[in-house]
Amino acid sequence: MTVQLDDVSVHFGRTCALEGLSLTVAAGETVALLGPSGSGKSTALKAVAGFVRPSSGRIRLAGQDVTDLPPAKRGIGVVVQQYALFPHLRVADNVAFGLRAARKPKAEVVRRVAEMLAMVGMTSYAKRFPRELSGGQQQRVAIARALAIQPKVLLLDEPLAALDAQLRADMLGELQKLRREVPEVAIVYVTHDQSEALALADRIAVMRDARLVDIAPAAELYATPPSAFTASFLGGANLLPVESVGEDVKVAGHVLPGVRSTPGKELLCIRPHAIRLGSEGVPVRVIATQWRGSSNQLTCTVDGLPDVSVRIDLPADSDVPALGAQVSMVLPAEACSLVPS
Amino acid sequence: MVPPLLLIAVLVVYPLALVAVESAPAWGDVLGSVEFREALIRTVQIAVCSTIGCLVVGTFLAVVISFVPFPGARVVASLVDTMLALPSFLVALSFTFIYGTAGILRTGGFLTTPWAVVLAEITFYTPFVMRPLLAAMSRLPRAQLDVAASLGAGPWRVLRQVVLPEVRPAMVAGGSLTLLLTLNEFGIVLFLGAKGTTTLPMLVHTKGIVMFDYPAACAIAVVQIVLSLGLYALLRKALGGRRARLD
Amino acid sequence: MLVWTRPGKALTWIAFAVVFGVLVLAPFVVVIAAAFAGTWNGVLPSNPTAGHLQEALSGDELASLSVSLQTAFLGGLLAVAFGTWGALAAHGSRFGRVADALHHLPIAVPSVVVGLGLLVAFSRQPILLNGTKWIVVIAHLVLMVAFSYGTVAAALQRVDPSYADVAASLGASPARVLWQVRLPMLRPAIASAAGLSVALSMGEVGATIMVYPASWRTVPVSIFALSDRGQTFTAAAEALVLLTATVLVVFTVDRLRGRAVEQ
Repeated sequence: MTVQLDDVSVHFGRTCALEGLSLTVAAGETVALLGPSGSGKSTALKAVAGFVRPSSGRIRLAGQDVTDLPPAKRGIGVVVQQYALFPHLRVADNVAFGLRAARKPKAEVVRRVAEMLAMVGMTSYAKRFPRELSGGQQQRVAIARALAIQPKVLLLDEPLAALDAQLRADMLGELQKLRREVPEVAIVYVTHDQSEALALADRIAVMRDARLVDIAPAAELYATPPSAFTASFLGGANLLPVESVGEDVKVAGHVLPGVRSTPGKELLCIRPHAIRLGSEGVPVRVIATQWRGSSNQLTCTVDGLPDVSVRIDLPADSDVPALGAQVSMVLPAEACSLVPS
Repeated sequence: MVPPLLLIAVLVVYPLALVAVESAPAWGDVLGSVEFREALIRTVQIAVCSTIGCLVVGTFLAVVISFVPFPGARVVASLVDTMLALPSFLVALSFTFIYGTAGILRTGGFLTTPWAVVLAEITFYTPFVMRPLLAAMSRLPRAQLDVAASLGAGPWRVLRQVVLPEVRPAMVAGGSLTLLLTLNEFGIVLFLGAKGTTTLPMLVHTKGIVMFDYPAACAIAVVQIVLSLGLYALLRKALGGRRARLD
Repeated sequence: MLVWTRPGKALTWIAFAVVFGVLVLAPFVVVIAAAFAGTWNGVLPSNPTAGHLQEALSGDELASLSVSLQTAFLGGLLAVAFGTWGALAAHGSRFGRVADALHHLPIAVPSVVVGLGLLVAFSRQPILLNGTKWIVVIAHLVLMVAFSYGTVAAALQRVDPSYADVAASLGASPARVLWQVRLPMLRPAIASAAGLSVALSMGEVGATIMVYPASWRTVPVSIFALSDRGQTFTAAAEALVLLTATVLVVFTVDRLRGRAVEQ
């Protein structure tokens, strides 16, 4: 089922939580809404779920306008941040909640609950109360509860935010597995964590200040970010101001071989790990070094660009220049892209 | 929305409005009477003294329970919670045995003075000050006190400069609630005050039930309502504390 | 963490014990002791007797207990129902502040004034209730509605709205969300509102004394009558009966809280 947002805005009094969002999520597709807090991503999800009413714009499910439909009539599965498992109901009753609301026959409820709990590996916890579960287990139950009603659309609002780092990595793997279990469901995944978005999403919609900044397939967005914000938010790219001299592009007075100038795009975007140290490049001065286990990260100032610092990731086994050393950085053309400032 | 509000409208707003209407013919007599003026002054005096007493005693007890804990401190704290639900006249009744002419202390005259009412109200309303204070103090990070002590601050300094500023909103909340409740207190005055101390609520009862002078009772009631609500609102505004709830 | 020396602590605790014992605890202990005392002319009561308690549990006084229990249950439970209803309706409504203020009115003004208002309002057409037990029940209902409303409204503030949202997204109708999610999650608050209402109702004296008919005399009114006639020991015994009954009732209601927890 296709989810379609058509110029959707949400205002709370004077504050604008979402401004003119247009977005389509196809059946079987995962779209991540990625952005810092206050970017409007959760509001967009709540609008699709029907928890908040758009001030303008329409929302369609499979082409049918549902903007005025209450959440109960939309048939969308929702997993919220703190999971909101009903504390007075056991795990099995939580999962059965939607089925009972739909007055499904008892036998079907029992069968479906067992099926869902088996899918998320929680069968042996059916009789527990939510407070007796760990964060990761609660999350699985929340997903089982949302999927029990066989939704065609699944909305996940920061499902991993409440978990600690190790568990988050494990659950990320489980979510990838889950995606394969429900191949036809359209998934909207709200997160502020770029690694979750990159791991799970087919397309990523980057949001900022209640607006959509960029939307593109994940790999494309990472490789050639269309905007400075997306470049730095997704993968922490370096942004360097450039001058155009004819067809050539100069950084701090040095021509970058192989990079073609584009009108209106005055920032060079390059990932920290793509920069190498060499003899013929832009001279920089090392002001900090940080060993990160798998890599060494240098922070450098660029001669002639007083307000800019550059982060460079060197392989862990490479020689690390001393603090204060003058080195030369090479910016390979294939790793460079130009974005508007 | 409608049925609960309708209930309040019929059972609270309508009667109070009628009280205001009924009071009209009695205003001149009531405002001019010495009895009324004395009761008004007495009511405010008793309420203010009791509230100050409750704040002093309640703060001391709450500080000890929270920061100088002893075995059984939690039991005491839950006992305090229970007392909130008990009727106030029990205190007044017990005073008959403690301070009465034939009682433990045999301070015969004391029972008939306003100070007996003040003492009884301090006894009964101290838990009302303690409850918000205990809650606020339990939220205060213990590390803050330890750090202050490690920086060389003695107990008094820690109390004055770390604890009290932090729990001030709770003190304001508890204090204004106590002031309101002591202005309105009836049970204690009924049991003790029949022996010499008259406050406004007591006067409402006397005029209304004993003398059947409804207009006068209504006029005094209106003064009482204005006094209670006005003082309470003023206090909340002036002290700028967080919104104190009545419950 | 505040007082670090042993003597300092000991001194603080002694001061605490004296202040708490004499000022807060003693009056309640004295009432209980007096209930069993034949005479009390010194520091300690003398001539222990169960006679006062017997008096307090017979005749008119026993009838008072029955009246108090009926009033407390009827008034208190109606109050909890209406208070909860009011709090749920006011929550998130445009009229929330008005509802808040109106519901707090009965406890912001003296109970005597609430009683006077009811007396004035219901001694005339169109609603004549003066002289019946219903005016007492209504007085209690009005006072306890305020407490119930406050307790439930405070709990509602703490409940995350996403529970109701999620329930709705699972296809539950508003009625189902109310009965199966919102109310069960409020159960602890509703139970403590019920306990508080019943307890406060059992001890209510201000409004009751304004409106009660001779046929419907609650325990506190009886205690006052006894104390006023100089029968202080019997008054103390009846106060003990009131305390015991209140604690029993509150304890029972507390049991009903069950396993549900607020989150």
